[in-house]
Amino acid sequence: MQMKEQISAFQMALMMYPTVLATGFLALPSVSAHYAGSDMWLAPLFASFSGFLGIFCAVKLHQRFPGQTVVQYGEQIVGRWLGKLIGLGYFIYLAHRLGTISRQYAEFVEGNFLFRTPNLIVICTIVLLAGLAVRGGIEVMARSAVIFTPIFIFPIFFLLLLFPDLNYHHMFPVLDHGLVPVLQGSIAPQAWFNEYFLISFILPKLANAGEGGKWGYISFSAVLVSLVYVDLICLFLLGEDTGSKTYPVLVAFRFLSVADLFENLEALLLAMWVFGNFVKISVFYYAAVTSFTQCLNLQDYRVYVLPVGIIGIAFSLWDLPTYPSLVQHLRLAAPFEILLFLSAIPLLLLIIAALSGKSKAAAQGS
Amino acid sequence: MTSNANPSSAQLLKQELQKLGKQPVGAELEHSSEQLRQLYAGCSDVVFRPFLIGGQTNAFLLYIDGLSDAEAIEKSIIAPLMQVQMQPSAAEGLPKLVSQTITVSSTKPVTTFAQVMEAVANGMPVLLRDQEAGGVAFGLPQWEKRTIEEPGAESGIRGPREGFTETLRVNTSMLRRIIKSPLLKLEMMTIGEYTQTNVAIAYIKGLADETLIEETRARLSRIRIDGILESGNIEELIEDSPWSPFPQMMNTERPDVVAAALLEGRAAILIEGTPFVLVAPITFFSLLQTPEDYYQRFMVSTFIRWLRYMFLLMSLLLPSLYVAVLTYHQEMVPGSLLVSMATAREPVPFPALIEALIMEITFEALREAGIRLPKQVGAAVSIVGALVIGQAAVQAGLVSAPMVIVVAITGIASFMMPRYIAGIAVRLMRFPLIMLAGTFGLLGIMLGIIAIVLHMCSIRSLGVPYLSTLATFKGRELKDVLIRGPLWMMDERPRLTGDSDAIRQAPGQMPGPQHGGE
Repeated sequence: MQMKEQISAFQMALMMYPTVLATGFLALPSVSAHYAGSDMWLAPLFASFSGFLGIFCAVKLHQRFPGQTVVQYGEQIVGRWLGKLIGLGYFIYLAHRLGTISRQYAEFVEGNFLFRTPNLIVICTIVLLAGLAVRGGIEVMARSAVIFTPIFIFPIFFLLLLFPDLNYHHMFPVLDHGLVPVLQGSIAPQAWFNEYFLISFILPKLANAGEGGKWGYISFSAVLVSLVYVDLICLFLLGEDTGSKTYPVLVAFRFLSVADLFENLEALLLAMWVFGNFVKISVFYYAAVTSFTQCLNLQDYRVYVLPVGIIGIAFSLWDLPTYPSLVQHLRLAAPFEILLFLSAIPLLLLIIAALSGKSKAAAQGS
Repeated sequence: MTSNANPSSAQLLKQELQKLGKQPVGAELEHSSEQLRQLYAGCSDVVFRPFLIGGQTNAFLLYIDGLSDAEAIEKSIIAPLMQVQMQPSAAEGLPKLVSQTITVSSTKPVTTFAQVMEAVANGMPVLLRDQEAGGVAFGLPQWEKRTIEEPGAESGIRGPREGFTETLRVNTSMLRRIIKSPLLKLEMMTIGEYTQTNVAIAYIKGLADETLIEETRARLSRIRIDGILESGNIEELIEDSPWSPFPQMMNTERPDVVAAALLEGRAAILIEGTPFVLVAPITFFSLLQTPEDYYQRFMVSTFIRWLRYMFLLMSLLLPSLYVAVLTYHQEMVPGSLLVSMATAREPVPFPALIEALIMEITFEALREAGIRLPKQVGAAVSIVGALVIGQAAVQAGLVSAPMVIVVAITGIASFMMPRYIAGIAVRLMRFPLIMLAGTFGLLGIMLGIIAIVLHMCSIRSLGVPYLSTLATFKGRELKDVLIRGPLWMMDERPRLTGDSDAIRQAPGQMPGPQHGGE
């Protein structure tokens, strides 16, 4: 009955695009502008290094240990107990991220559309739907991503209608304050780009695993281009003001008015936000469930979808009483958390594996 | 079907029937005729016709009045047998006699009572002779059947006008007339304990994936039921996801649709007694296509397809969007429109959600009444519907005029779906969406869409993902989904399951003056 589930590398690329950008679109321009001012659009370019590193680590490690995720080969590289510890760490990190992402999602919906709906309901509905997707398996997630990702991408082209109001002089002078502010502004995008390491959980499911890396890089390049594009639009429209807005893109959408017909298009942004975050949450959810079951060597992951979701919902409210505390967490704590789990550990694993010459073949040979 | 200590009388009868069926038809005519008379006691339509072969040997003929051609029986079976002069020795037997004297084209030997019953029920008269075990069945079925007509539920402008009938043989012959190759296979089986309905699996060997046919066969033979009355019975017993509002098989009355499906490597299930033939596997998009898409010019078809997709979304979303915008997001409506809508809604006492539900449910009731009512009263329904629901309700201030417009457009949109079953599934989805819109606004609609898409992504039709081609993103096949590509570009068949012959036609057949042959 259970068929081996497989998706294509292209589907993976479509899944990863909103995984990084769903929250990135709204949050990143503001954060980058806060530090880098008129050079904010350079921040993603400087940050792109971490995305490429994430994909590189995931692909190289997967080449050494085909068919395994980071939790599984972690055990083989650093030994059973340390590996279990890493796996548990991944689970806690991913469940926590699942919570904070859903909280971010809910805060935006609530702050701008449904003002009086309780946080918990907005969070629960999306986590429940994502749970259904995860329960359906990676194939269902991939297929739904093929439909949702275009809905997610499409609205950003509407921003081109702002053309008459765009003023490209806002970007000059380039690098007026030197490189340091840009590098500071690139820390947040770096953290987001790091999420590409999550393909480690998807690569084992690819029918054409050899093309995983290629499509990973293509997907990431698309993310990079989109983010620079959105940064530039925000910069041209709002100038130095971008940094003081919570959601510059929302301002841009509200600003849109063409021929008295296309007005108040923030509904489009809401669509982007909901569909994109659905894909994002389900990818993190899937990774959390996978790391949980693999860490404990459990067979049927479907049983654990609901409990992991409840843990995620708990994380979404726990210790984050207000929106400012969420922002503080995202600005101060999250980058280190992300850097540790999605850059430092993978890189260390790769280095250790390379130095000790460990691979699946070697492990089976010994 | 629990077997308990005291079997009911129906079970006893069934067991007896089974026991008798396994017995061979004996040489003693008296005995076997007595057994058959008992078996068919109370069946006023069964005819026993005893006569003497060549004035000497006892024989009798068994058939069902109205199922077999009585005139032909008289002329080509009874008359020649009664007049036969030579006396065949016992060794030569019935088959020899039949081959020498009887002019009926198809004959079949029968040996057990089960075979006799089957032959008789299918309109084949059975001949039994004294001093000889077994008998012969003659292929002389003839019964009243509907003539071939234009299919009622699937009309079109261009394309063949004939539709399937209730008679399986007529239907298979229509398929065979279209696909003459012997590679078109029609496998027969009977389903239903009492109805013994003949069911045929049609497929083209080599084009249809072997495992697919095996799976179809296995699922059909798993059915244990008293009777099959319509293809819907079978559909419900063999589909992949029974808990889904979406049809996972297509039913059609048109031979050309079935032939096209067979040529794409799908399987068709024809059922005696219904003009609706099942086609599987399908994708959601097959339900949004008409055969005419392929008979018209491709640009026209592409345009019509886009129109259809647009109205599909409308029939799903329009009422809920209206409710959501009116209840939660008034700021999204352009100012002047908002004023006129507010004016229209001013006398209405209900919230938009209730108003929408009232109108939608009334519309569904009108639609259903329109189908069920006798034709003579049909006009009355539409008058009542138009006047009461449209005009009077607005004037009485029960509903607003914009809501009437929304519901009317939605209704038309749902009738644009070429397949009734697909349209009705979408219509069903509209109600939860209206509820969600009334409680969560736009967010609710989006959550609803996510749920629907997730569901559609997770179901399959005979193993083929329901949203195949789009959601599995097969680049080449998309030209038959997003648009209707020109015929000379569609050189390959859609890939369903497994590997089968992919090449449909020779490449490079784009016509033009240089290919004219002048």
